Amino acid sequence: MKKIFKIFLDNSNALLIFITMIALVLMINMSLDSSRRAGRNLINAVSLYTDLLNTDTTLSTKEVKAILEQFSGEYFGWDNENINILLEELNSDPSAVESHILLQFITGYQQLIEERLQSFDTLLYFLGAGVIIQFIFLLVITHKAKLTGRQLRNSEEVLRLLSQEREKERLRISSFLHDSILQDIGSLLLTTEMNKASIAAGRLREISGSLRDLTYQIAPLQLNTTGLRDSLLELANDFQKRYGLKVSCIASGYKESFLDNKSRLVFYRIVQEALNNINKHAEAENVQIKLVASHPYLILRIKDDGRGFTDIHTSNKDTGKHLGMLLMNEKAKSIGASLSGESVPGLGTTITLKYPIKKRG
Amino acid sequence: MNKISVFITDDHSLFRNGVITALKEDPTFIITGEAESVLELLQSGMLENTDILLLDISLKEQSSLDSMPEITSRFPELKILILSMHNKPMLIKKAINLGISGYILKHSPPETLLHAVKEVQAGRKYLDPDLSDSIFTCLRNSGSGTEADALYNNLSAREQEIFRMLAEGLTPPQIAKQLFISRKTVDNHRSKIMSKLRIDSSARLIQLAEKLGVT
Repeated sequence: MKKIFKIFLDNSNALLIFITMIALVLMINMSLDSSRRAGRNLINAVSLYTDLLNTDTTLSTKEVKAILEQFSGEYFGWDNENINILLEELNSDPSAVESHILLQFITGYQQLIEERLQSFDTLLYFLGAGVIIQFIFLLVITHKAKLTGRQLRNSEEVLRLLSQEREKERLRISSFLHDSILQDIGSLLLTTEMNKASIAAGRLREISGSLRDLTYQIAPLQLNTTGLRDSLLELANDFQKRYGLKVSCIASGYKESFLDNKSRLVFYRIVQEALNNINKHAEAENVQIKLVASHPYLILRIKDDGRGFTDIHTSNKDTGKHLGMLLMNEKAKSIGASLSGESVPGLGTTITLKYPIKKRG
Repeated sequence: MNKISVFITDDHSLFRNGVITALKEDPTFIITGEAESVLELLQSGMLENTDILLLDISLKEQSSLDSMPEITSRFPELKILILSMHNKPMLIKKAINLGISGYILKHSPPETLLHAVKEVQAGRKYLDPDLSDSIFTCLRNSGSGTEADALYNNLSAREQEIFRMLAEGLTPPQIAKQLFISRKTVDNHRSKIMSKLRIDSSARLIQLAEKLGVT
């Protein structure tokens, strides 16, 4: 019960529609009720009249009265007084009673038809009102859905912008490290004084080496010069060296001109993210990166032989359970590509990025 | 002893000065000029009299590698020695393909720099010893490009498309309908694909598509 209540609370629109529907049904029922009663009385009256005609004339006044009493009621308007008058007439002129009864039937029919017409009017009125109410609710719901849709799009947009800004920020930091600090260290290492102090020079060289690694990790500065294919190959080598994963990388039919700088970075980041995820969660030994042009698409697949997982498709935004997957998805969307994942527990996971090449001018 | 004339292009003035100071300590070298960008370098008019161009890769927002074809075509005699912070093997590979004579890292000691310039001037190629490790790894792993990749590169866009559709299990009539072409054209494409990829059965085609990542 609580659950049902909660469903209604969660969806006020459903509750409103539900109440309207119930009210509508009740109203229709009420309006039909009177006409139903009229119909029933009429049927009774007809069957009694038939009985009366079929009975022999030896009926006692009491019996006739009982039958006539059946005619009394809402639609025939006969009270006891009328019946007594009729009974008196019956003694003197039975045919007059018959014509009275017939007249009464006609009146009954008339009333019934009027009643029916009235019920239908009421029914139409309620139906109309119901339609209008439903229509208003529909408008409200659509409006609400539109607003929610807009909010959703807005939040997606915000996420995309944030992600873009983040890339720019990383590029700035990386460029700063590379172009200023590392160059300063380099020029320092060229001075004879420094060269004489060989221990300090050695230390400085180490620092410069790790700083350089850091710059590449923050942003792939070489990406647009080296191209995606070779950068991915290097990324694969780095991962292999750092984490002991065996990472292979093949590119078939690929041309650098398929991608602009923005989409190239997205491709690179998705591979980086996927490799990080594999390294952290998959317990895989082998990873294959495949980049293949298959007109009109450029397809990227990252396949591992790790433990896989069952709920790859239920990316839960609230719990951030598959935040990695969500972020990759957002990145893919930002360049008009689609991202999908396929995972078999025990057999590994494949992430596929499908990018329409022709879409760009 | 013949003098070696050197021109330096680097957007970092402190570093430029460091290089000039180091070179000046050895009387073998003459500095013909310095520049902050490729544009400035080409406008200097000093390259005709220069033996060795010391060139950084990242120049402000630009990569000097993009201008390499222009430099080498205008000054074919000029020997280019890259002096860069970048140690990514693939970047070095690209530079080598563009016709450089040597590559050294910026954190190298002055002796390495002087030695490299002399080696290059003597007509030899020079690579910074600090790069050997990463280049070694890179060369070892880059050989993974298989014969299949090479064959696949020969497919036209349409053939790639039909190859994928076939691998996805579509029949030639279905493909013909989807691509608005005749059944006969699809069959022609199919046999061309098979011969280009050197395969003779649908089973092999499906296998290959999976291997390449098409399906």
